[in-house]
Amino acid sequence: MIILTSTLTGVLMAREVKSQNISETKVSLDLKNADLRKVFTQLEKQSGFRFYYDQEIGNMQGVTLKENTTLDVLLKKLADQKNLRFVQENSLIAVTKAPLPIPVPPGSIKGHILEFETNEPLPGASIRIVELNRGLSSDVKGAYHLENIAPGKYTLQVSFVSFTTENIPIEITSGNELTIDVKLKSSSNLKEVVVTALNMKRDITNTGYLVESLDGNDVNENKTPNIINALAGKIAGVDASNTSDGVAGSKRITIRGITSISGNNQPLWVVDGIPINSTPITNASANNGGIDFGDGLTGINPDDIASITVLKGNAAAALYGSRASTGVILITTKSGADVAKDKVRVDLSSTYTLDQAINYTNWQYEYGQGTAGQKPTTQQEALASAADWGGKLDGSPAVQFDGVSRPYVAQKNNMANFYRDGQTLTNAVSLSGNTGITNYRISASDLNNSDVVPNTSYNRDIFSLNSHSKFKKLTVNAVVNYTADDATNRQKIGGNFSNVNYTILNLPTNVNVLDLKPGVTSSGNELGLTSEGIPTNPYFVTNDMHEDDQRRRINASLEVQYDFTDWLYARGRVLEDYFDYNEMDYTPPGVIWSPKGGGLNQNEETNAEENYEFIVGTPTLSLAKKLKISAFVGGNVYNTLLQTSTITGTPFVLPGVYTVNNLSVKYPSTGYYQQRTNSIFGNIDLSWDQLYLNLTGRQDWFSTLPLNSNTLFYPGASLSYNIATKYLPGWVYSAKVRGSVAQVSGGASPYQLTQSYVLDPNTYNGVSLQSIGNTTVPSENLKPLLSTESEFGTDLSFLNDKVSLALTYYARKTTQDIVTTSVSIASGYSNAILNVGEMTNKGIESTIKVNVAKSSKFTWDITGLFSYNANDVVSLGNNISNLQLGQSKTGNAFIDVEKGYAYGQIEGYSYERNSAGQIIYGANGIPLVNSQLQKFGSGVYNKLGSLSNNFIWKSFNLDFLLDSKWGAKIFSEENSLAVANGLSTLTLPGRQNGLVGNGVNAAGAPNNVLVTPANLNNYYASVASVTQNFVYDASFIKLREVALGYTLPQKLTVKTPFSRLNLSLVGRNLLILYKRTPNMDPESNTTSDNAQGLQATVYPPTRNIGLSLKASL
Amino acid sequence: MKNIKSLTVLCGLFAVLSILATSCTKDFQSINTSPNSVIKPTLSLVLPDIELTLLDNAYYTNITVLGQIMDQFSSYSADFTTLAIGSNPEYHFNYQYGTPIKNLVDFVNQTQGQPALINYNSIGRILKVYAFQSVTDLYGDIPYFNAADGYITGNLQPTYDPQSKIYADMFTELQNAANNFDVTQTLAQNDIVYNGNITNWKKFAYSLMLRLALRIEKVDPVNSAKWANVAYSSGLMQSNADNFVVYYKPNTYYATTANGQCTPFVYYSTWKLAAPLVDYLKSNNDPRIYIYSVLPNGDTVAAHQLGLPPNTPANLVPLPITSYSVSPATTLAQYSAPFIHLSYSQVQLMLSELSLKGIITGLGVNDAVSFYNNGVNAAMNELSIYGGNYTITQGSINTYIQKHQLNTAIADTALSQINTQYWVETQYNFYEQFSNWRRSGYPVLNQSNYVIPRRLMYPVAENNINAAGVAAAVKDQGPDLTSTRVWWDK
Repeated sequence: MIILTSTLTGVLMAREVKSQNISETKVSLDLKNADLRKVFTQLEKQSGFRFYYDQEIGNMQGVTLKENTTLDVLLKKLADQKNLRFVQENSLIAVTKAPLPIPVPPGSIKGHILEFETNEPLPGASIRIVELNRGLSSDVKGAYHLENIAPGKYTLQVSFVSFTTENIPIEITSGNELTIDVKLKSSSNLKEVVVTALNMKRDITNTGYLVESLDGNDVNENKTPNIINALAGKIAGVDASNTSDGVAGSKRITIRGITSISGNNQPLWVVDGIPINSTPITNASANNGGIDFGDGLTGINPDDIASITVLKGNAAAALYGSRASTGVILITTKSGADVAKDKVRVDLSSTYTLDQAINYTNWQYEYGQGTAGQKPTTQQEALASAADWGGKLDGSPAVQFDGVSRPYVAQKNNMANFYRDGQTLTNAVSLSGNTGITNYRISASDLNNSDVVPNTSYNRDIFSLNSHSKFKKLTVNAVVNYTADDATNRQKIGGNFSNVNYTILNLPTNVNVLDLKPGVTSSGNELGLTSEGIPTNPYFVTNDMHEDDQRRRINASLEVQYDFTDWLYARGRVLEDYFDYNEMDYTPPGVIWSPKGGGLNQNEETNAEENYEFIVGTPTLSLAKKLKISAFVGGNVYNTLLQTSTITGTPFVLPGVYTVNNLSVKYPSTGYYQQRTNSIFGNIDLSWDQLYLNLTGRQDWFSTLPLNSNTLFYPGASLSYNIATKYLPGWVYSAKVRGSVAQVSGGASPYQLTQSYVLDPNTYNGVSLQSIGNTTVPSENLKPLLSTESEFGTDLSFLNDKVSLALTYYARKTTQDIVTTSVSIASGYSNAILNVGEMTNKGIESTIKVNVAKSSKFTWDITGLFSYNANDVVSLGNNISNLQLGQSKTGNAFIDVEKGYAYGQIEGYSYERNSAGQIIYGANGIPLVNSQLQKFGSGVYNKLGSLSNNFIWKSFNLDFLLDSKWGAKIFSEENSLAVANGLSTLTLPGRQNGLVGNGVNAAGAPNNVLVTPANLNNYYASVASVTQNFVYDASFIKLREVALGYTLPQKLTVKTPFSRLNLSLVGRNLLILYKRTPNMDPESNTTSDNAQGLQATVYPPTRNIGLSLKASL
Repeated sequence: MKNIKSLTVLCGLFAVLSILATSCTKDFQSINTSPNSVIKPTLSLVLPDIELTLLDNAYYTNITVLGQIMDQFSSYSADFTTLAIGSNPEYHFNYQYGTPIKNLVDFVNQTQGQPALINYNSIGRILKVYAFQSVTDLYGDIPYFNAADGYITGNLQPTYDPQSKIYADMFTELQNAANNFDVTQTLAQNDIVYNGNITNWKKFAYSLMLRLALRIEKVDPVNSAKWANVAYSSGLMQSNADNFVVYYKPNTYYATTANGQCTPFVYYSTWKLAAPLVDYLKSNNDPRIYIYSVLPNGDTVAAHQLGLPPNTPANLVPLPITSYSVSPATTLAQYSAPFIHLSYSQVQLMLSELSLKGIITGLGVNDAVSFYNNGVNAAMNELSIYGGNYTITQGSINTYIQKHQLNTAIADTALSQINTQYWVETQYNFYEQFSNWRRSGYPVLNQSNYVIPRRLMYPVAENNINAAGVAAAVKDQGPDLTSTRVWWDK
């Protein structure tokens, strides 16, 4: 018998199944407002079943049915419509009015809500059955009891202010009472797990040092090709600077100031546990310029980043050993862990960015090219000098570089005419999945950039694969990354002849850059701007000179962990970072400054770094009631091998064939640099209630140091305490104090211990030539350097966690620093490597986060960062008072390390002045320059501040970041040259009638010597050589990032194949709100090396506006 | 219990790892040894390298600075009047210490006290004097006794020594080195100048001694005369075959195998021969003119040659720049141009002046005339190093000498004649030319509108990183200016 009803469950109940099955019987009805009798009559005809019903049922009206289905479905509908009950008995169907539903006995649930750690009851917690929207609060004993729940599967949601919310699946069965105790974790005590040194996961709440993390969204919403740019203003104490070396050029980042006097001061980058070599291939030097070939950090795909953790201090990074003395930046890439079991997710992201060159220059537009106040009248004169010491721009004809007469008028649009809008298109796709045992993520991304300089471009493809598997006691994690970087025509910057940026900035006022097109004459030779071809015609540079480079990089890691017992595990890791770099550039025949026929350079570099690591440890064990311990010991072998091969040659034999084989003279050279560090280390974590103690120790053996002094042990200890809530006033939500002290050591570069002799790659009439290979004095007595840091801080949270504050003070001292210092060339060497130097960095870092509003419709968060670092060079060793880090091309500015001063002093010359401060003029009326070097302040920022605001309103989000840096100076070679070339507005006085400088002569009488317009260039040459005139305060406030996003609401996405769809409009470097540097962006350091504070002509600053689309399938 | 077990395991493992890590450092020494270099030099390979690198890239200090001062080159685009600061004036200082002097100090050190290597040692000491002299003559007081010792003694900020003491030591060094040669010991191999010939090296040492002696004639006449006589009596260069010439390779790249002498004319269109040189050659019907001067269109006709007036601003250059003469790419302005460091001709001209002044015992005015004639004759003959096309016939040399007899009647005229010949002969060796001009005052240079430098300034970096050294030099010799005179230039 089958009974069909319209009761709650509405299920089909089968008592007997005969050959004739109502679920297999097809029926078709099309009735409007019929009575039931008519319905049943038709059904009897079609189905062969017979219906039994009484008069009342037969007369029931208003049946409307249009169905073509099986009988059981149709009867179910009828049952629902008319509240009937059908009972099948063989081919008979009895129809009755449905009785009242049979009540199913309900179930109930009860339990206690407890604090996770202490098992204390939590009164007032909210308990809800989500599906029924029924709930209550726990009582004073933390107990709850919910009755009268219909049987079924539900979600029990337990929440409490400042605790984590738990969602527990429950099944209520009829008549039974379920008992469920729920333990809530305090969200201030929330185990926020971060990846720290050696890829070990730690609970951030019990670290005795500062660890700060960023979510992947913080760096990939507003994408830039180099990850360093995306870090600007986002973590306190991290100075990410925007050197203007082009999109694919190297960038500089330092953490807590400068650690090493002359060594690398940039942090170690670790991606998924793999240390990445981020050393620039070559750095364009401040004085000679050249090409910046990038630093390899462009090989990190922002879309792959799940989180970034910055280990700032020694204590945090000590387990990384020697390379951590400058801090560590850990990147964890996304995995498939967040994908539900047996599901696959596809994420798509596409970003288009427009880069606009910004013109900050405000030159004089009153006087044009020429000499002695006269415009050029012949081509030879025009070619003789590109400086603007000519006549008043009066629109009359004036001869230019190509012999053509053009109106003598100002050309103000040269920058706009030459640069184009740069464009970057980034597309990324990833596939993530989870089988339960293994989760994986495969991603591919493609970046396509065209630079603001014509014909300059950069492409990058990244493929990555990671998988994390857990088979009972065995855990296997594997990561492989492949990056292909291709750059074309990276431009020369700084003081190079062929720096197009220099040329554009320094064109004669009346020369239109477009007249230099196409860069060549009809004979194919360079169309020169000057007779010596310096600077090179910019169109010749972009069209005829060539550079291209390719970097192929593989990072891989394999991590295997085996848990032998519940008290012992072992982990082994093999990490590899390998890249192969090929670069070729040539200068074709026809360039004016190299009439011999151009030349070609070809460089190849392979770099391999391996780490083999083995760890044995014990997970957290209880020693006593509240005393817990965990520990591990391990060892690591670090090995690097760099091999280089360079061929340089000139001139070309056949025209138009730009290969090494076509060079008539070749100069090859090769290099081979290997180093190894063996290490052992140990780590112990002890906790007593909320008091945590971490002890670390590491010993390194360096291959690069003498055998008798190649090792050092360095310890670290940190302590933290989470103050129990009962000791805190009500408005304080949580409080933690922490402190640590730790040491980190460091080695040297290879082959710096003894003098050696090298053979010249070329022979002389069959005779090999040998000479001393060192230009740096080797030292047989090198010892490891030592950096000791202590750090104290507190993490506070107020007003129910709406306001939080992290405050840290640190003091770091670097001693017996391994310094490569410029020494007197009369020693035979230009540098020496010495264990000298002591430097201290003391500073504070603070992060304030305020949640202004938080509701389902509107959220507003403000984050403010501030840090201050005081650097002091305490000692540079015996008899050394200063070291030189760099110098300007103009030769009048140096970056020095001076004992007793902050790192990186800009030094140079000032006017010769008398005791009253008046400028002294020579007999020719030209100001005298004091040849004593003076210090004008450090080129390193000491105060960093930023303010970010994040708003979420419904489906929109708006983020903006104000970034500012203070306390650094910068010497502007650009402004100095603009004075020397008569381009600066400072050179306007005296153009018509000459000028008399304000000051005194050598005898002390007022200067009254008139400098005539014909001699004005010499007057201003002297002004230009005074370094002090061009040292500016480099402080700034910038609107660094703006992002406006819209995420398609859930109810709309369900109609699309996407589970998530987000569209963002992003902007970067949109505005400078405050600066003190005329004609330039204060963030225009030429190089990313330690010589900060020198600006030469570099790539123009750009404003970046982009559109980004992210989707998940 | 398991706590104790786990801690025991960890401690045990730590001990094992310590032992492993320590024992695995055995190959560290070989890891930290570059496969591209050796610790011990091979003297026979170092010597030719030193000989080739004695000359810096001739373009920088030599041509752009000194060549212009000496009225031999002119360019309106090179910074001529502002010799105070810049990389070109300091190039010679930086290069000499960083390359030949460093290698020479080491070379002498490597061969010191080893009788079997005495001939290498002596050559090293002679060349060391040569290198130091070119630096001290230009800059004055310089690091000498402790120079280029950065590795051997660790002296990174060498003191500046007074030029007087440097000269005193250089004389004895030359004498001792020359005396020490020993034919019974190994002769220098791969010596690309004298092929290890001891006699030649001795002649070079004494010829160099003669140059040094003449240099100090004003400031220290006693020692000047003493050493000039020692040099003369010990044996000087006897012919052009004794010249100290380094031949460079054609079509080569960079300093070790090319000398940069071609740079101004091959690379820069604004470099020209200066008018005083071209005018002198033309007005004296000098047969060397076609070897020295050519128009950019290849025209070597003497009458067509035209020099660019020195120190002329671009807008005042009267004719198109292509109208002015340059050095021929087939002779002086070629990649493989040989460089004459010291010549028989110079020795003869020096002897002529010394004889005229009666400084060499037993020589007088008549000797001065024959020395002068020999010197001029040798100066013309030595140009055959550029090939057969540049061999000047004896007839035209004789005619020239006939018309340019040394006027011994008027001492000043004779001195002017001798030193003007020296000025012509030392073309491209402006280090020597500038020093001899400062000493002798001849020829009178036709420079206007600026003060002719008497020395070059120290590298700016030295002021910065060896401030105490520079301060001592300033105290001894005067302010670090181009107008300050070096010790012997009083």
